[in-house]
Parts: sequence; C-alpha cells; structure tokens
Amino acid sequence: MRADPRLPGYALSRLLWRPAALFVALVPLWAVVFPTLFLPNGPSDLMAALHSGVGRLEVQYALWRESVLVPGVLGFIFGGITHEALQSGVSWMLPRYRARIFLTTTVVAVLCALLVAVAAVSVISLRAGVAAFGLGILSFAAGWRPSDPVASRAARWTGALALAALAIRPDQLARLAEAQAIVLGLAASISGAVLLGAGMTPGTARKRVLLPRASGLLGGKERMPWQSFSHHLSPRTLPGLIYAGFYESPSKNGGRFQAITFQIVFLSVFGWIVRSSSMVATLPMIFVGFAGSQLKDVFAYPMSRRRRADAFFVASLVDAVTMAAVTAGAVVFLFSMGWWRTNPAGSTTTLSDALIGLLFLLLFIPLAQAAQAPGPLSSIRRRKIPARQWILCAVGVGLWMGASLIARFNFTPLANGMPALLVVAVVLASFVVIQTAFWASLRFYFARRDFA
Amino acid sequence: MTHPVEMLDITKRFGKKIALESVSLTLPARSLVGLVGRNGSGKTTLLRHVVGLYLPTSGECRTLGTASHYLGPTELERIGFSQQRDNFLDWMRARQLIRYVSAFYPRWDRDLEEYFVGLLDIDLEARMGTASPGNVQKVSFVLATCHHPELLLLDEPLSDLDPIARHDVLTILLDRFERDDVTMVISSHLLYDIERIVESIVCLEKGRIVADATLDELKENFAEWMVTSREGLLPYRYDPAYVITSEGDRFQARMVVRDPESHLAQFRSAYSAQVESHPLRLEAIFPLLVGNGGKTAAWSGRPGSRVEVEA
Repeated sequence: MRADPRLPGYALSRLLWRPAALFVALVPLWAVVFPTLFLPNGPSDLMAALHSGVGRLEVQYALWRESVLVPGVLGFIFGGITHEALQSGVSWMLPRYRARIFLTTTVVAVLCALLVAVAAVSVISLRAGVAAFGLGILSFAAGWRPSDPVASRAARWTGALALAALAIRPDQLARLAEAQAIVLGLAASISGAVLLGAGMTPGTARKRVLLPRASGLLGGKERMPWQSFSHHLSPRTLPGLIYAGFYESPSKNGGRFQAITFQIVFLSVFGWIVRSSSMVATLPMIFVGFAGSQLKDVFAYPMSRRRRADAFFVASLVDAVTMAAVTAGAVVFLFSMGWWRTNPAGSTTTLSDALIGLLFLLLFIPLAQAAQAPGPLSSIRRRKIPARQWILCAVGVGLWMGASLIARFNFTPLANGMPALLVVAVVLASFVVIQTAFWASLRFYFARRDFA
Repeated sequence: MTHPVEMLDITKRFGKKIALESVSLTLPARSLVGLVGRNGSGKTTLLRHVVGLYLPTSGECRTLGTASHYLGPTELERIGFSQQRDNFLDWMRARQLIRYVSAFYPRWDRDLEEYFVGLLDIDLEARMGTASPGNVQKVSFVLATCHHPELLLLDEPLSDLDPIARHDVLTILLDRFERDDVTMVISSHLLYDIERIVESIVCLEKGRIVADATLDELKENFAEWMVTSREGLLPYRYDPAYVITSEGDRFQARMVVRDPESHLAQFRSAYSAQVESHPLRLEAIFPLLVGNGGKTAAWSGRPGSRVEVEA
C-alpha cells in the first residue's frame, strides 16, 4: 500500500519510512529503559507504580528523568532526520515544505510530551503531569536543535542544564514542579515552541541549504591547528599512518585527543551526578569501538592494500590501548579522590572490578573494531552506510560486550586462586593471540574488498 | 507588465570578497537566456539570488513580481530550479525521491515525468547516494521541470551528461519552451550546446555583467575575417582598434574584428584585399567578452550597445 502524498504528515512520515528506521527505533526504547535501570527492581518498579498509581520517590525520580530523556532522544532523532532533509538541495524550493515538516514535528513533540505527562499524572499528580508536559516539549526541542548545524548553543545548554538539575536535585525539582506546575509547564512549553520555530525560519533554512555537507575536514574554520601539520602525513611510516587517521577524524571539539579527554571528563561528572561512575570505565571504550581513528575515505592514499590493512590495524590498536590507559587512569583517580559514586540501591563496584572490566573490554575490542573495516560508520562524506555494516557493527558490539562480561565473571573467581604472574601471562597471551588474529583477518579482508 | 526576474543594482559580498557587483538585469517573460561566465564569475550566486537563497548586500531582486527573499508557496510552485551538484536524500531511490518531491506540486505532470524518465533513461531504482553524477543530474532536471514552471533556472544542467543525454535535454528544453509559457535561464560552460537553443546571453565576469544581448546581436558585433592579398600588401600588424586579434603574413591573414559591417568596406579599400567574413561561434566570442581574447573587450551591458575594445 502506498501512502497518499496529499495526506497530512506525509512530508515527515516519508522521511521516517526507511530501512534505518528500525535501528533508530531502538534508541528511544533505550531512552525509556535507561532511567528505570536506577530503580532497585529495574523497569518492573515503574510498571508496578503505573498500575497501582502509587510511586515511591525513586520511581518519581525515574519519571522525571524520562520526561526529559524520552522526548529529548526522540527530538534528537527527528531533528537528525528533518535536518538531513532540510539540508538537501530541493528542500528550499519545495512549496510549504518547512511548514509541513514543522507542523508534523510539533504534533510528534506534543504526543511524546503527553505520553510522559500521562505517566506523571498516573504516578505523581495532575500538577506534576502539567510540568512534565512542558518539560517534555522543551526537551524535545532541545534534542531537535543540536543536529542542526546552524543551531545555537543555547539549545544544548538548556538540555544539559535541565538534565543536570533533574539528576542532582530531582526531589527539589519535583517539589518546585508541584508548587508552580502550571507556570513551569507553560514556560517550558513556550520555550520549546520558540526553539522549534526558530529552527524553521527562512534565515536558518537558507544557511542550512547552503552549508556544504563535507565541511568537517577541509572547511577552514572547523579545521584545527594540529591538523595543519600535513607534512606528518606520510604513508611510509607507522606514525605517519596513525597521524593520517587522526587527520581524517574531524572534530569540532579539537581533534581526537581532546575528544577523548572530553569524554572522560564528561562521563566522570555525569556518572557522579547520576550515581553511576562505572560508565566511565565502559562508555569511552564503546565510543572507540564504534568510531576509531582508522583511515577513512577522504583521500586516495598511495598505498598497497596490505599497507592499508596494516594502517587500520595499527590505528585500531593505538586507539584501544590509548583509551584503555586514559580510562584506567581516570578510574584510579576517581577512586583515590573518593569521587566514585554508585547507586545505593545497586551493586557497589570496587577498583579491581572496574579495572578488570576495562581489561576485558580492551581484550575483545577487535570484535567491534572489525565492523569498521568495510568503511567508517560516521563519515564526513556522508556516504550511505550499508545495512549489513550496521548489522555487523551491532553483532560485533554485542559479541564484544558479551565476551567481556562472560570473561569478567568467569575470570574473577578463577583469578582468586591463580598466581598474579600467571594471570598477567594469560591476559597478555590472550591479547597477543586476539590482536594477531585481528591483524591477519584484516589483511585477508583488505586484499579482497572494494575501495569506494 | 511584471518581468519574471528583475535585479536592480545588486551587490553581494561574502566578507571581503565581492561576488556580485552592481548587477542590474531584467529578464522578459518567455525568454530563453544563457548565463555564461568563467569559474567563480558569479553565475550560481546570481541564480541563488533569484530563488531567495542568497540575500543581496545591497540592491533588490524581484522574482515573479515578489521580492525574492519573501518568495512564498504561490511563487515557488511556479519556479523550477536545478542546482549544480544538487544534494538529495542519499538513501532515497530515484523513484522515491521523484514521488516525494512531486507531492508538493499541485501541477505535477505525471505523464511528462514518465516521458522524461523514459527519454533520459533514468535508473529509477538507483539510490541517490550511489547513483552516477549523470543520473543525479537527470533526476534533478526532472524534479525542476515536471510541474510546468513559469520560471526555470538550470545551473549547469549539462555538465555531467553524456552527448546523447545532452542532446535529449536540449531537445526537451526547446520543446518545453515551445509548449509552456516559460522563461528559462541556463547557466553552462558548454557554450556549443547552449548556443543551439538560447536566444540571448548574459555574460558575467568577476561579479559584473559584461554582456547582456541577444545571440544575434553578439554575433553581428564580432566576425572572423579571412583576408587575402595577391600583391602581398598586407601589413604584419594592424593598427585599427576594431581588429582584436590577427595572425598571418603579407599575403594571407586571419583576424577577429568587432563591428565588422561598419569596417568591412573601409578595410578592403585600405589594403586592396579580398575579405571573407564568417560569424563567430559563441565559444569564440566568449573570450572576447571576458577579456581574454588577445585584447581586453568590454560590453557596456545593454542590448543594442556596442562593444568597446581597449587596445
């Protein structure tokens, strides 16, 4: 059955109807589950509260977090999809295009905010529901703007501050929302509407259409000072190959090194706020698994396939080891300063637990890094990522996390009875074997793949 | 009567760079105009002003009677615009993209679309992100034309096409020009191709209009002379200002001249020579307009004006 283009909502819904939509659908699901993971009994606590209409304080916290996270994540997804369309060449010329997109996006934002508002009404109170609705609209708009290349930073700060406020003092925010629910809800809704509308003005649309898609690397303004040392770009030496990978990894935040630092610092602070410092030991490694600094598709390097495989391997190894070392340092620092924070209701983590977990992430990281061999998952050329590569990546990351977890839990009791030297020898030997296998498989694969 | 495009003393600056300088241009309804100029001369900038994508630093641009930065749905439905290196949604197939875009135009002509798709041999199942540049350009052309626009702006519509497709596109354009009440502006470097269909030329050089005239007027203003003197009386160097370039010996010479009709009789008598006069092709006229024809030439900017040649 084909959708009638004349139906209201066609402009936006058609953009969602695509193979990648299934993958995208998993993200809001995660956004729903994530806040409830901090509850003693997980999501079942929330479901029970929704059924009974009576929620403990933890459930109320989770609901407040959801009123920000769920619309925020959905806003981010819709923002990415609409901005991609609005950046296309024809969008400027299509009559009533922005109006149609804006109208449908607003409807989605309202429905999304209503969803969390209804939950808040069921568990907390009617007045809290009104505040949650406004917060939902604002959060959706804040999530929608960051993927807009010409968006102001205000949107990101709004989202970050709201999230921080909710995470740090949800009880006080809940009381404030209870006391001034109507005013807060109204103010937040209006702010959200203004934020959304500002992204649809002709001035913003003009800039968006004219913005070159591949402005990340060679666009002058976004090129960082360290990227200008192009004489290091030698494909003949190993450091040259690594540097070439860094050179191709654009980042507005100042390149690879700054990005790593930013992730560690951000997650340390965020982990402390949400009482889950263990995310410092896992998330940065996942970022590296997803998007490393391997050579990408910007330049046609004069090098053999074998050399290219070697470059990929070396960059992957350097990436993983660097990130693991920096993360380990951060974990030790947090423990030594007493800043390691865990949810009182959840299991506590010791320093050795955190480091062993990190060790196994490092050990099995090639499972995830291999998914990038067909091409980068995030490319400044915005090439289309084949579905099979996404699947390979998802399977790779799943295997990686699974293997790390299984190895960790099996290893801990085993390690208790083993001499320390033997443990180190086993881990080192495993590391060498896995990396060698990874290297060999890369050479095998690169000898046969197409270079686009 | 309102003209489809009226630009009045438009200047556009990007920081210190002047992209357009004091450009005034009026395109009459139902005209077929070729927009030519060297790389970076301001052709794309000019077209983007017409559709309101760029706002002038000073001056005013009116499209279909409306200030171009206030163009609304009513006007946009009457404009077709194909951009050089159009960005589309890479994940969509050509068929999906055409359906998507057509949903926004009440006057979309499905039969015409199918005719164009068939004639241009467009691969409808190709995804835009992986389609060949030629295929993308063909799709862009279909998207710009199938809603019967009154103003059709084509920025380099032929650059990525093979010779057969170029011929087909030119045929389609002429056909549309005959059937629809349309004003067309075609920006192109393929002068041989556009010379076959356009009736007037606007030439830009460094952000200024250096020629705005009909093709016939331009051709009347320049000619190639093949000069023969049996007595060997030809000079090695020609002093008259109307001779732009010359090469040859005392018996034969080939020269490019301006305003040939006015000077032909005088030249014959002065040198006792036989002169065969040939009209120049647009490709040969173009360097003269942009000041790269051996001597600097400048066109005063209005149809009917004469070409000024500086020695």
